[in-house]
Amino acid sequence: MTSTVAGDARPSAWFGAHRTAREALLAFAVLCLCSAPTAALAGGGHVIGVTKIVDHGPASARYNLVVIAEGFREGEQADFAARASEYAEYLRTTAPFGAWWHTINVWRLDVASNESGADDPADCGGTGLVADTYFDARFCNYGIRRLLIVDASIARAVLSAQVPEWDQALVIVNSTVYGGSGGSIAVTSVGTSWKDVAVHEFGHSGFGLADEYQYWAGCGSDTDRDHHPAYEPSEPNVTTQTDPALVKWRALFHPDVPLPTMTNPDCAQCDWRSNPYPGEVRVGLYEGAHYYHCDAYRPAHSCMMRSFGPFCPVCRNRIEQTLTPFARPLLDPPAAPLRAGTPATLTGSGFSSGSVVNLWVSAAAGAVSYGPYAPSAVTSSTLTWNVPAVDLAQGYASVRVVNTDAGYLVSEVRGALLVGDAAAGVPTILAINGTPLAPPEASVGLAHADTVVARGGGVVLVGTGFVDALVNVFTPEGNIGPLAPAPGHTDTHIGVTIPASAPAGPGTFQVVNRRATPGGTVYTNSNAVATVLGAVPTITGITVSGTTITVRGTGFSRASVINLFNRQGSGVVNLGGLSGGAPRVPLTFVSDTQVTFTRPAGAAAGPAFIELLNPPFIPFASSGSDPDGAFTMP
Amino acid sequence: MMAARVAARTFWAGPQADSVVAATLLAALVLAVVPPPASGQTPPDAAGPVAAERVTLAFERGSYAIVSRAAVTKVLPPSDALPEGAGPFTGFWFELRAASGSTRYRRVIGDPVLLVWEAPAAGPGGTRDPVRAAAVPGGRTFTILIPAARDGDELLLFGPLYAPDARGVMAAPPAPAASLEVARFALPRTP
Repeated sequence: MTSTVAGDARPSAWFGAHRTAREALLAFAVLCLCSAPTAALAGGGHVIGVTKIVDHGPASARYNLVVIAEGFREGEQADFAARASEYAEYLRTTAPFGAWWHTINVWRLDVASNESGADDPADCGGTGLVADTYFDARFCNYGIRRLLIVDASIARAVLSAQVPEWDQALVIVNSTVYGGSGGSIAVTSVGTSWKDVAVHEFGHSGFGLADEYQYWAGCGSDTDRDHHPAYEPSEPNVTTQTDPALVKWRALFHPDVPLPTMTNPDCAQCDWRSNPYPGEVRVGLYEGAHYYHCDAYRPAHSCMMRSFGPFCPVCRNRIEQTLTPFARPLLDPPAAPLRAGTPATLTGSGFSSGSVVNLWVSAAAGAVSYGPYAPSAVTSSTLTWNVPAVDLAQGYASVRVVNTDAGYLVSEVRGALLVGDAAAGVPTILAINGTPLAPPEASVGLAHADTVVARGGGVVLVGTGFVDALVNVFTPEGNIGPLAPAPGHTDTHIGVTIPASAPAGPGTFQVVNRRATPGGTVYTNSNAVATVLGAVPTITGITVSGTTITVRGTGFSRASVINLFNRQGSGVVNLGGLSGGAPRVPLTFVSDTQVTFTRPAGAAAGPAFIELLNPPFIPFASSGSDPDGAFTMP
Repeated sequence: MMAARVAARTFWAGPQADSVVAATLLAALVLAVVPPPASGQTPPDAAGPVAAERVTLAFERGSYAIVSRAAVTKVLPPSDALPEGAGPFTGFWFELRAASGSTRYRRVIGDPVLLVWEAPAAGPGGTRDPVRAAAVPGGRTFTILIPAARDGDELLLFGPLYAPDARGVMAAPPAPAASLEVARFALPRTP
């Protein structure tokens, strides 16, 4: 049984053929877009699978670094796993990645090759090894022994199949011969200093950082590196600009440095003078960068992009800027109801020391905003805070986390049932006639128990904290309470009798505790819990007389609304639902078993179908696609 | 669905309600939860994962071609601005441009054509300085991530101009010149 009053048509089961055709069309479109390019034939070996070795949340929300095995045989996968973890740890301990680690997932893609190592042609002074490996790794490309590449089309196909959301990949080749190549799928062997070089290359391909060193082939080897041409590099960490007001990292200038900070006294030579601020990193304008001795400047004396040292502040800033969108805190759906006035722990990822919680409670006057609340304890994946002692209202709350210290990035909004603290005298309804509260649903946004409560009979409310309580029952025709409890009630059980005269349709229960104080009686409300009174709407028949359509069934109320689906040409149109807050097809309420309406002006003669719905449009409160709702529009 | 519920609140508070109390509470029964922004702060664009595309491009003998496009839903790095001033600029970047000519997305990236690997060598100051090895390959493929394309969008690549016969070891960087538009592709809308 479903419910909707959306103004746009939701094809019912009655129009199933249309829906099927449309879905088939959509599925076809998706397939057309997503079909992968033809993969090149892989070399010797097989893909074992992928493992998330650093998990900070869904791949769609985090920066995904994938480390891929090449030249590792099946029995050498443990060696590869160790290398992958070694690299991840090295990256984590390289500033600023540690502080932004919560933005990064690291995946290990295990691939077994038939043989170890990589081709190492003797032409370049190599060993002459020819290895049958999955990605066909080979040193000695273009006559440069350390230029180590793999078959990029195979690597890309495997990568995209295993981690479609990948951002950057590093293929680790099982060879101690020094080598590698950069790019979004970078390649490295495990020769000396491989992790340093891999991180340097990550600076290029992941963050668009330029080389900050002052030569191309090497000082003394170059002959034309004296003056940088008068073009401004697009990269964020080198410049030809000497007007401090126009330098792209001017916001990070140290206040006590001259600008330029260092100039090369002899543009025919590299400038190897030491840092004028020993032991300090002062951002300024240091001449000698971007492969030239003069007329190009770097932000600091040394940097990962110059000499494999720590990233300078400007490069760190660029990395942080790139990773910021991936820092959004992610919030899991709360595992338990929020209990007003008591601590609660939220789980997720990407929480920070500056995380705060926003809270909204569904209430009579609308969604009431509370907070923000600072947590009493926080880690990157858990956050404990004190839920305020708010009125429970509709028994439904929404929460989200805001990282106030990281760009005010916000998590998604999560809904939870809101219950009271019995110890504080706040009553809570947990079940009605044995039916527990339905799980929280953001699309409903209130507490409800999917049950039918008979009129003229008893109903048992189960909960906590019932003390000297009365029961309100709200209907479309008003509150039929307060009802006094039957004898024998306890602080967890209350029985009341629903008058036989109660209107059918929606009925919402609320327990109210009374407490005498010197200042008068204090009332404390429970959560309001929606149910169905009398009968679930059903349609048993429709008759047409002229332009008047009469609907018979059960469970109709003065607040009922209909969806009216009408075949018009080859399509189906919903003439009902709501528009501007009013029903588009006004109903005349005759009784809880009969309503009538007049043929709408926009209707077409022919097949039609209605669903009858009672607010608050919770599940279990609609006629759904009852086949008796079909008729022929006059 | 949500809009319908919000609208329904007005409906509920209508004349059918017999008492103010009932009308008020019943109104709340049909409320959708529409949270306002965080108190006192306007969060930046943190929309989370978006419809995006992975575009695979091929470079061969000085020209570029699109090899494939694949839809993906994910967070993207922020769009870049070019340095202040009119240029000319060096480096490599790509742009997704709308039919109106406005730039929807730009990223400055390392030159995806060059094959480069550095090695640390002992520097005069006791530092470990990179020694560079670079080559222009005859052909190379690379991928970029962009927001999902809309009708009329174009993808533009800017970078150094490699001669069609450029291939092999680069003893020096590309001839000193500003980056040029080296490729432009009409990008049909992502279905």
